Amino acid sequence: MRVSVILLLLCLFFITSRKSYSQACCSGGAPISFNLVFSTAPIHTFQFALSYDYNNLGTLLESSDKFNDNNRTRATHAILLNTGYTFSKQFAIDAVIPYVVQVRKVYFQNSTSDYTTVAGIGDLVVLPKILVFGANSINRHLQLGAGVKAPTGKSNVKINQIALNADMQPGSGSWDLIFMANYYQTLRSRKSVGFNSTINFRLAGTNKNYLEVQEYQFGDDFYWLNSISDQFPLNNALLSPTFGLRYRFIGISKINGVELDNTGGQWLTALIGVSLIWNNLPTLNVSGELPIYSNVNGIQLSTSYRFNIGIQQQLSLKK
Amino acid sequence: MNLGIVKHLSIILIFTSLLGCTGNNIGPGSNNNVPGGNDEGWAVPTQYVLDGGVGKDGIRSIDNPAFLTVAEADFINDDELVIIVNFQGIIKVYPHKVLDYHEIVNDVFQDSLLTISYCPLTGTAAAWKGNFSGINTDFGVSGLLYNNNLILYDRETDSYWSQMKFFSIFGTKVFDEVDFVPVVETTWGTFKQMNLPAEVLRGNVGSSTNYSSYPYGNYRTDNNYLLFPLEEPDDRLGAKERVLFVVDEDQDVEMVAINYPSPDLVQNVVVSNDVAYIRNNALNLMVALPTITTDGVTHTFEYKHNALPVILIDEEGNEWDVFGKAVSGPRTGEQLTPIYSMVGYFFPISSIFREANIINYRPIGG
Repeated sequence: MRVSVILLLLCLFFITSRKSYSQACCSGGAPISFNLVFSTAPIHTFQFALSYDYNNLGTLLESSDKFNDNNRTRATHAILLNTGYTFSKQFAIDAVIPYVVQVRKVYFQNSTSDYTTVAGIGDLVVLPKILVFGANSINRHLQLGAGVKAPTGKSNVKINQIALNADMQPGSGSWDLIFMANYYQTLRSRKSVGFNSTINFRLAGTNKNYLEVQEYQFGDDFYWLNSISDQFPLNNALLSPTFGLRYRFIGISKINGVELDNTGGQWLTALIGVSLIWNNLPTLNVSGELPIYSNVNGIQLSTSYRFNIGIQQQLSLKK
Repeated sequence: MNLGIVKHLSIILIFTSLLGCTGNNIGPGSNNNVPGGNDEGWAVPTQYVLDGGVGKDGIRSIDNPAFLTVAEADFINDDELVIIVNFQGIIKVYPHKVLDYHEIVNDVFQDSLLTISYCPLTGTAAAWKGNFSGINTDFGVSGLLYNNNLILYDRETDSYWSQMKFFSIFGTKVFDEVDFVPVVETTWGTFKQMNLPAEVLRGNVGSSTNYSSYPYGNYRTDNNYLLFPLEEPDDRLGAKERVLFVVDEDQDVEMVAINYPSPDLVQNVVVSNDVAYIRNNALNLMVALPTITTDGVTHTFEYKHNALPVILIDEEGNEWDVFGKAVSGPRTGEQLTPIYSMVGYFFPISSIFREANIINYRPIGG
């Protein structure tokens, strides 16, 4: 309990103490933290998930104002492999490794002027978690997590010997800290209705070898997702729709310690998803997100929509 | 259980297909638009050619420019910089605040194509004809930078052109030089003092931006704020010190700085290698003109105050304007031969040119 309180305080401290404006195009990377999907599970249970995530940045904004210019898109495709293991009633660990495809397209006079793609393994996230309460309840729980994002992805990819900027790289080149808090509560009157609230904060480290001689630091990344879900029987399965709102705040990036303009911002997005749950078969998850409100620093390409589809399975080792 | 495995495999195959939808040529160096490789074909080292992040044409050139009269151009503040082009008897003004967003204007003077470019990262402006070297073309923003400086591409041969070097650095036209037209850079307030009839670029019709905000924050004044590595970092002056530089045939450079407090440079005109460097700090005006007229006579210039657009008077009594044209005196109507000069930030110059000599400079702290 004491550990978890310290983690929560640390998380709040970093959020409030770091100067955090916002960023944009460089927020286009694979939203790995969005895909830390596992909830609580029985002791000695492995969890696996495989998902495809598509993040389309096609809206050019100056602050909240849309530019009359839709000639370019940035998209990030990611295949994410999640694994998790529950050691005890209190302790579990999650890990996510993505395979990332960064795509940049620019159209000029009705033809494609620029089409640049970069693909590769992204950064690995490892997140140990502790269950603060709810170990013996399926109706409510609070879990906290603190982990790292390791720079397993390349951050110095070149095309024809020409270096690409940080936004187009599969990895960030930095060690980041990840903090997470998740609260779940069911309705007393209808136990199948669950309210889920997740806070996630990534404290960005620095890539000390950006373009070989520079330092680059992406902005810190914070989101708070509140969602509500229910379950309905459907033939031999359960259908579980989810509706949610996500507030996301990304701090300003830095190059050699100097704040970069046109980076960072805040977004409020609406999430809608559905899960199909079968007995002994993987759960199928599909979700989409649309921005309700976007406010970027300077001028940036901002997310137009996001789509995710994945499967998830538990495997108990308990005899 | 077997059914489960089959379902697993099916879903994995769906994922693989989705990934395939992004292109079968995924990976560095495959289906990308970035040219070159291993310096082959490049006139400059590719180590210092970098992708700026926006992609080719990611910054939109203005291809159908619209203009206002000087009186109508009330969206420019007096202390804001503008680029002035005097070509074929027409004077046009291109405000930095518009070029910060578009970088390139493909314009027409009489019947001649003229491309005006401005690089916000190096603070340099250039103009050159669209009809030269066997091509007749517009130019676009390539999305690449060489030592932080704009690389243009021509839309006819797709060759890449260095703005500051004035020649092609990649493609079928590599090493071909542009046919440049001199530009003058000063503030809008100083230009208005010249009382010249001019057309003023109004920005891109249809664009939702009103050009009211500078898109790079404090980039213009923060000497530590550089986006990309340099081939030859040079700390003799502050990175964002604005200098006037002249390039010779060997790609050597001489320059003066506008605000640099050199004790030896209190005069408005400094002559070096047959070039007069004219500067007026109060007017934020710097111009380089040759001291030799086309008949081979070398002149002695003095600065003429409060006579804009006239800035020089010579020993024959000729008065010369900012464009190098004699407007009074025995040589009235004569034009000095344009020389390859630019105004821009100090920091990229040593990286882009072979030798960079600062005239009458005093080392920082010296």
